[in-house]
Amino acid sequence: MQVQNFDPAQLDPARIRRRRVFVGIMVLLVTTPAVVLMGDLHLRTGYDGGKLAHLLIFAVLFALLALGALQALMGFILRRQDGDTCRITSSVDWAEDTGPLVARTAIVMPICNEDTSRVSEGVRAIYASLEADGRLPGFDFFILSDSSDSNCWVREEVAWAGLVRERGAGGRLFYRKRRSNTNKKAGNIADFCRRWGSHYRYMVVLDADSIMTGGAIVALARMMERNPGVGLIQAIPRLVNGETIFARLQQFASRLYGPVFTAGLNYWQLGEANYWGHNAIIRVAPFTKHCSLPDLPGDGPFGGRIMSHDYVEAALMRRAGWQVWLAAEVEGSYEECPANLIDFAKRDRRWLQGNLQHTRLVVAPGFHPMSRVHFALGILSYLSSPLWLAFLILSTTIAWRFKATGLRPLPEGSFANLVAWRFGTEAVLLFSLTVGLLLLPKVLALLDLRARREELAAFGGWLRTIVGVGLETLLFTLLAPLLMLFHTKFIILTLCRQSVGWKTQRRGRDGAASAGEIVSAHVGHVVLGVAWLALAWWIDPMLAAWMSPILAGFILSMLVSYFTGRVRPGLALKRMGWLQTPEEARPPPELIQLEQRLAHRDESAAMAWTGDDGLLAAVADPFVNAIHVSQLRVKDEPAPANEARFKLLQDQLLRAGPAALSPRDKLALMFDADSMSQLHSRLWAAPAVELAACWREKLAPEAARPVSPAAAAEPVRPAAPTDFIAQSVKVA
Amino acid sequence: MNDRSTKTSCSAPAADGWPAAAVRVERYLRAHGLTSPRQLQRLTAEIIGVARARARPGVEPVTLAMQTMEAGLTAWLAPLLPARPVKASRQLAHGRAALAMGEVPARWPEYFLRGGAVPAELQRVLRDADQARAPEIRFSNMAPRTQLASSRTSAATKWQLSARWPFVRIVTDPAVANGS
Repeated sequence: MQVQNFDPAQLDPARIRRRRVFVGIMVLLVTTPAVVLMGDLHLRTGYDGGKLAHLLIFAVLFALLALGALQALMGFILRRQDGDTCRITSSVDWAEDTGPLVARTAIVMPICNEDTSRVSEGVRAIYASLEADGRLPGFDFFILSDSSDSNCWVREEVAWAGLVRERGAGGRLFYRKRRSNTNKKAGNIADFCRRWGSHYRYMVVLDADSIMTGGAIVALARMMERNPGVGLIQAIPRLVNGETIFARLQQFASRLYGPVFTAGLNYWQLGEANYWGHNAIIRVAPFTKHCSLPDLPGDGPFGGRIMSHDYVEAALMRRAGWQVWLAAEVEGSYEECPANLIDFAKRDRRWLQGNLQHTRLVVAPGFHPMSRVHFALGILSYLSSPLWLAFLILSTTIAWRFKATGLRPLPEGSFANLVAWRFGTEAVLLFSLTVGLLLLPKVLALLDLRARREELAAFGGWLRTIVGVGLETLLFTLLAPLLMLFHTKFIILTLCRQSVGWKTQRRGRDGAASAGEIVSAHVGHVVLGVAWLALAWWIDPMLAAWMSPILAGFILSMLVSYFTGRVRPGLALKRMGWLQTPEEARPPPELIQLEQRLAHRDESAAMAWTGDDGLLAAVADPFVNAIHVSQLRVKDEPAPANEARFKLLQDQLLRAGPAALSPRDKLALMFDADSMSQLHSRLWAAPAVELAACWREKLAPEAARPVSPAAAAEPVRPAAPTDFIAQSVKVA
Repeated sequence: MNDRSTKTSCSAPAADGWPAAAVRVERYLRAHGLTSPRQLQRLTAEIIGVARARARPGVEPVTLAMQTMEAGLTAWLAPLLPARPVKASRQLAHGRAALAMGEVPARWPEYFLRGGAVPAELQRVLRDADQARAPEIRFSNMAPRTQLASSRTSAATKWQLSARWPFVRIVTDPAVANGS
């Protein structure tokens, strides 16, 4: 990072305004000619309501396309000029500012029924990285669990205890299980802020699959220290550890095109950037004071709890006068991505409903105009799918009416006659402009790469990079129409007031969708594709040809979804170096450690728990019980009625086993420290005949273990008096 | 006590409930990570011996043995860990957690559940392991400060506010447009 003297507090508002006006004008300048061309094409055959709607939709979609392409262009130009002068990373003198960090920072990882070994290995990698940098003393770690699955809960406790024991992290690495997961992830973080937030000046929020190097975390903390007016800094998480083609396509594309896009984003967002929910550092005091999420008025999909909290928290932070920045140049921030199209779509469904909820906030009082722009762009990113579908339907309808009425383009009456453009010329020009804008970021990213020889080599050289871009373009051309259909369906379901659940995301090897899931997800797409192709062919073979990339996506959806979601072909490409990213070619030590440890991940009995195994272990195993009870909150004296109820439940559990209890009762027992302690004592002290079969199995003596030579040769050290037990019983 | 315990060891004939009690005690000690055969045998014998001395009609041997075990564990941990204002059972759970986190029975088998002084390192490990709980809770207020109206109300408010803009007033208000 380059040493510069940028002070966000001194940023001239007129300069900020100029940048945004410039971007707006550029979008208009690019969009207007395309809209005029499209308008002129319609003019040649006469306007009606359908064509007007077609033109309006086209204008919206094209403006979004233009904004993306121009963002990439601005980013490309800035990177060519050695970067933007207005960057949060330029506010720190990295060569000089190497002293110890003054303020304490909490690293918080909210989790909910996640893959426990992946979570603990992620935390281990981050912890070890900070330790290796010698920066550990300024940081505390919190694993904040909202897991509702009792097996997952107990597994997390065991994994946490193992991690603390292994790293000697007592007093630095903490685990907290929330009794009720109110308001999901946002509520989980808010709960942390309420209880322990005042101990820390900053918190780094991670996702369950986040990895951040010690260097990245320290860099974020240092930028916060340097800029007391900044409330939140978002690091760009790079996608890593993809094994399927789908995941590797995403990480290749985001790694190659990301830098120009994020540089362009920073150009116009500046101190009014956005929060992406993780891999970000937050100033805790203003966050606690200003960023508690209100409930939206009404019920159902648009009301109630805010699902997509990050944008809203950034907007609330900005509303309170704190800047929000994007730190595009911070290296060492990673996350994983869904492994297949279906999981990607499922994740999008949650995000979609969350973003649609923001329609309420676009006009809510007090927000900064840029926050309203973020809300609007978030909504449009999903709303563009039904708009695109409507555009395609209208295009087909217009073509059909064209054929049915026998109309031909008018020879005159069009502005295009001034430049001697025919109907076909205009259509080709418009098509080229659209495709050009779609491809521009890719070309710019490749040109940008030209100046970074080392990175180019890490992508595998020109041949592999260009072939990768070609493959990515081809496959995303097939995948994009499917996402359009998924989003449209989700929006319709949301409008029909069908809320979504918050399910755990599958990642990595566990993420492959089953054949049944693929068929049921895509059978409608295939039918639609075949029918639409037949209709388009009947109307005009040229229309079918024009729509063929989209219809091919529909028709081949099952094949594409299956093929891109498999691990084996993805790993084969990885071995051959195709779709390679610099993080794969030269992985940082944190990712190497994570991969190695996950390859030999804990396959112990705890990881294979099913049914009530977690509860059985939490009662019977002295270690698990001790860890579980010691993590439960101390409560006031329970009411006598509660005590009697718990006593009854304990009796039932010991005599008849967990099957005799309802899930609610089992959870109630697990949350009650006294009950869990008493159950442990009562179980071990009970004669076998009084216990259910599952407990007898737990207490059965293990098979005789061979005594190790070391143990057999154990030296006899001075032993203390032997009447200790007798004395202690007398005292008791 | 040793003679008596020999008779009630795991391999003793199942004449009454004491062999089962010994098996349970040994299983419990193993579950705490105590692997030293010598210490396992000695502690099991000692606990069963003390429990047998307390035998009374109507109380199962296994119950007595495990109560003895628990009392011993509580007494052994008491001077090694700071006392907390919690129930004894919970205090014992904290102690057992620290035992497991510090791997004390495995590392110092000859001192586990024995009277007398323990090595300073053992005590330090136990106390460190006991620090794994979260920092003291200091509650902060985090209440929503944004009152969100319905879309219709928000839109109406926006319209009212925007109606004050000069341009809008010129367009919508004839009096302003006429300059009167």
